[in-house]
Amino acid sequence: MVLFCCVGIGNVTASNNSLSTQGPLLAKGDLFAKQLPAIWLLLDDGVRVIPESDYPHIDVTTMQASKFLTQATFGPNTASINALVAQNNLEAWINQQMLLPISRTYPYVQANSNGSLRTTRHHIWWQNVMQGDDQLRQRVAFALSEIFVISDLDYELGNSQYGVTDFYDMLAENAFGNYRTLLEKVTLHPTMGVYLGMLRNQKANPALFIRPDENYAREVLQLFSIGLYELGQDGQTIPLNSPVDSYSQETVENFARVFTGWNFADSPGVWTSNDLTSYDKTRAMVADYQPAPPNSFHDTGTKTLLNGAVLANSSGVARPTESDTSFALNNIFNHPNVPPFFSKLLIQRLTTSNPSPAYVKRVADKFVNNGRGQRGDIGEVVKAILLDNEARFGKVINPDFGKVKEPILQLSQLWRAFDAQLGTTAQGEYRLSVKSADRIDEVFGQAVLKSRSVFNFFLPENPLSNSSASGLLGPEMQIMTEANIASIHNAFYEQVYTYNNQSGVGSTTITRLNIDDAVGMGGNIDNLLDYLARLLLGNTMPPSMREAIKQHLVNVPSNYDRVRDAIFIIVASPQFMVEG
Amino acid sequence: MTKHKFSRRSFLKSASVLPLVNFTPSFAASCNEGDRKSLVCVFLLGGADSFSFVVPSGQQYNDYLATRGNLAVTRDNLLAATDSTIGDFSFNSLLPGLHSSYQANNLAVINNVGNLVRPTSKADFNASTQLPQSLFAHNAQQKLWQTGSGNLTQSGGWGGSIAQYVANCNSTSNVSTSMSVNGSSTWLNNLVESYVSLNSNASIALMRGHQASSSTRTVLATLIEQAKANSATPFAQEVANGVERAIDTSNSLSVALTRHPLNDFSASGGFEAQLKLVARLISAREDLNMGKQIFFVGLGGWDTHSNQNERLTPLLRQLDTGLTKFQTAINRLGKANSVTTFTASDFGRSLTSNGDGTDHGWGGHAFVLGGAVDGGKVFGEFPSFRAINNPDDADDGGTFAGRIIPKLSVTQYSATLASWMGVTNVERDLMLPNLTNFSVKNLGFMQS
Repeated sequence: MVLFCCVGIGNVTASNNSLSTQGPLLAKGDLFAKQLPAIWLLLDDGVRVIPESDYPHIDVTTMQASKFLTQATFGPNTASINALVAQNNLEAWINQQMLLPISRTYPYVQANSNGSLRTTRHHIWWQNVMQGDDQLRQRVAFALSEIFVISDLDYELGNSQYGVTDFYDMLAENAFGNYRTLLEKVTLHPTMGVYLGMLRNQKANPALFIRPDENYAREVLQLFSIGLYELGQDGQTIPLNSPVDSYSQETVENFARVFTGWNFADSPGVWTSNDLTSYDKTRAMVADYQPAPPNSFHDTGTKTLLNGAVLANSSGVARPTESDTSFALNNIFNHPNVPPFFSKLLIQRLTTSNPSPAYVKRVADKFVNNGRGQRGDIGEVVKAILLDNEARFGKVINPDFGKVKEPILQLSQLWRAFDAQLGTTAQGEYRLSVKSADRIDEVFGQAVLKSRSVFNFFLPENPLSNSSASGLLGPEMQIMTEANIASIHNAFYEQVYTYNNQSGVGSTTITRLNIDDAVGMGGNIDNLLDYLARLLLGNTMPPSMREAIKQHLVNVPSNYDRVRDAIFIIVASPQFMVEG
Repeated sequence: MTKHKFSRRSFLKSASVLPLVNFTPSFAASCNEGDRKSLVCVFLLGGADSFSFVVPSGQQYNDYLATRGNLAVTRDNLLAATDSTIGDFSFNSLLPGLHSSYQANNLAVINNVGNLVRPTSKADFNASTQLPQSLFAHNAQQKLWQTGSGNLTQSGGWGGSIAQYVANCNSTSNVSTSMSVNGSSTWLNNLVESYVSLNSNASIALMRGHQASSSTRTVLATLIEQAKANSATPFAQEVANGVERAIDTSNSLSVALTRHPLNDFSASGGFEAQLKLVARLISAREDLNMGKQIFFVGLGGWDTHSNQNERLTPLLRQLDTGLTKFQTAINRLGKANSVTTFTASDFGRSLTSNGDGTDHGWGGHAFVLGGAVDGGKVFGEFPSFRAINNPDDADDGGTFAGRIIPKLSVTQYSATLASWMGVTNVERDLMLPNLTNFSVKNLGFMQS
């Protein structure tokens, strides 16, 4: 007998009467344990867990569409919300997105930069963000660029714009591909080789006290694949409160020896030059057998890798550099940490900062097996992240659900919501009045592929608050500093009040919001606020917030001023700067 | 969520209905006018190769040349210096300004300092006795350097702890005791006294929608209050706190900074821009009613795994010119004796080369700069630079690794600076729990 049905999480069509007879029966005390799967029924004799296969269909309401598109794209607009509501099938939308052609950055930069000019890659990135149809792929590529980090603030990469954009396009190409493939492409990309020192890394030379470079070996383990501590499939450390190192300094040194012997595709035999400018950074690094073995720079000795795996001496193998690297990448790929570690990082980028362990496990399980027996299917991982009931029903499933919006995504959301148009003399550059596109990090604390170190703009384990002990993580809060909050506020102020398409003032190089739809709502404040809530607040404006804004707007006589105030008040509010 | 905590600034806000002009600044007992002090941390992000900052002389230098190979600072690139205890040594000639400060007794060299739980010998290392967590990993070592707790799970930093203990000297100021001009900083994290983060690339302007003249001011304030009051939405709550701090900060600083332009400090590049902003805030210290100030400055790019010779040259120049210009500005303000600047980094780098660069090490050298420093002296010994039977090497089971075990701990270094700032011994021991493992609690590089 169903006493109280807790599946009523918003907008689920619970038409399937068989729900209450499926799944195991648990004690009621387990009701709020986070280990519970997403959907359960509270019965008079306990809690009935509903197997995932029996989850009801998610009805795509306007709220669902608005929230979903905030997670899966660079921001919803009226057309994308309406289309998704009409389609009423999130999985079908994802499937279609995955088939769209890739918006690239390299061809534009190749045509518009000499390779050292650093502005153009920001122009094409914003063009793709604003105009690209492949929104999901671009959003995931951006997320991957914050996990597999390179940055053109690096001394060498600043002059390697072709290589840097080729790296980004490579992330986009592999956004729905296999993690093992992506890991290899990242490892062998010459920009990564330059950034983390694997390029021209050489075996030990005891006479000169030379030891292999440990940089890539360390970061590929710590940041790109398994992390510092042993994890369970749910992303929690094992044991929970006393983390155990997942590798040692010795492991790093062994991987460093594996990653020796690689060079630019166009510089075989050259191992000394300090000037790397002229080499091709769009072609994968190659194993360099000049000088010829046994004098080549790859270390063919026996190595011990993760979980005690022994990579045997490869001096008798035909191409030891490649085979050793392949063995090592397989060794990493098959480590049990990879599914929860990578899944949690991607969940944090797309949906929530503090996923429940159960959510992490559901996604990590998809990483282990995509349903067709394959490990590492990133496309299925993305789908699992976005379609999970925790992502769809948020706080109803997990009270800690939510995140701070990445600053740069606050801007893309504003621009996309109002179909922002390039200035008439902008020459392809979406930009604010205060800074050019390539220096937007000076206002927002981030710009694509421009973080200050391999540790990204913010750390995944950054606490939400520096002054409270809630224990919640809030990675993005690391760059929502007082300075950035103030400069973003003033940038939005100018964007809304001066740089809209009806203002008639301001520079012609600056991007402008199209506020015609909002102004066209005439004096109907309720309609205006509904419209803005759909675009900017995941269609969720708390009644008290609505009341406060209404009270202000009723006293603003001009329709144009009312629209500008309404937009600005919302984007300047804390409620806009978070999602959940 | 957490319970409401008494906050100095929220107290001020309710008190500010009283006319502030009648509010006479009065320091607590330990905060006399003459005790005004500013502490500046210059963090060299990525692990600086400080074995290229200063080098020993004699046989030790020969060992260094042999071990470092093509990465060694050669004889024709040295500036001579002397210490009464260790004798002759040299500065890298790319650091002429810091060398001059040393010669003028305004700079002390702290040798071979690093993260330690307790005094650690090579035997201790080999036995893995109470070693720092996650040795040789960047963010872990950087965090350990900054936390003071010796524990990676602690979010607070020792700069923040100092701020907490001296904040009573700022009781009439609207500005946070600690400020970062380089983004987020573990060093300044503190549960009681939160820091603000300023951007040296952008002018600190008033937030336009929150100005008294703005018609949106009231409704925006209401939305902030709504977000702060709703503990069910902790993300909006924390962002609202951030917006409020941003408003407070821009209001109080934009006016004061306008009055302290420091036009004679011509800054070029990001590092100097940070230092100039700090110098302006120090110039405005009295105007801001601040008795104590704590700053975090950062210079990145030190992770020189490859092309070290080429990459290190501009970094050393930046460090030298930046700090020299900064100290000149402080001297001109007449505040040399009340401002102390010190360097820190994730770790020292390996003595060994990987062909054209160095790897993550452990101990390294640091500089402390200012009029209150017991300068012209070296504190601590140079480590052994031998590649064979090196007693200071954290080796790989007998194979030379070139990672130097520190002789002095960050804990002692921090304790010395905290005491100078006016932190009591009881507070010092609370913020630095591992200090109890070291018999010397004060390294003596600050004049008493």
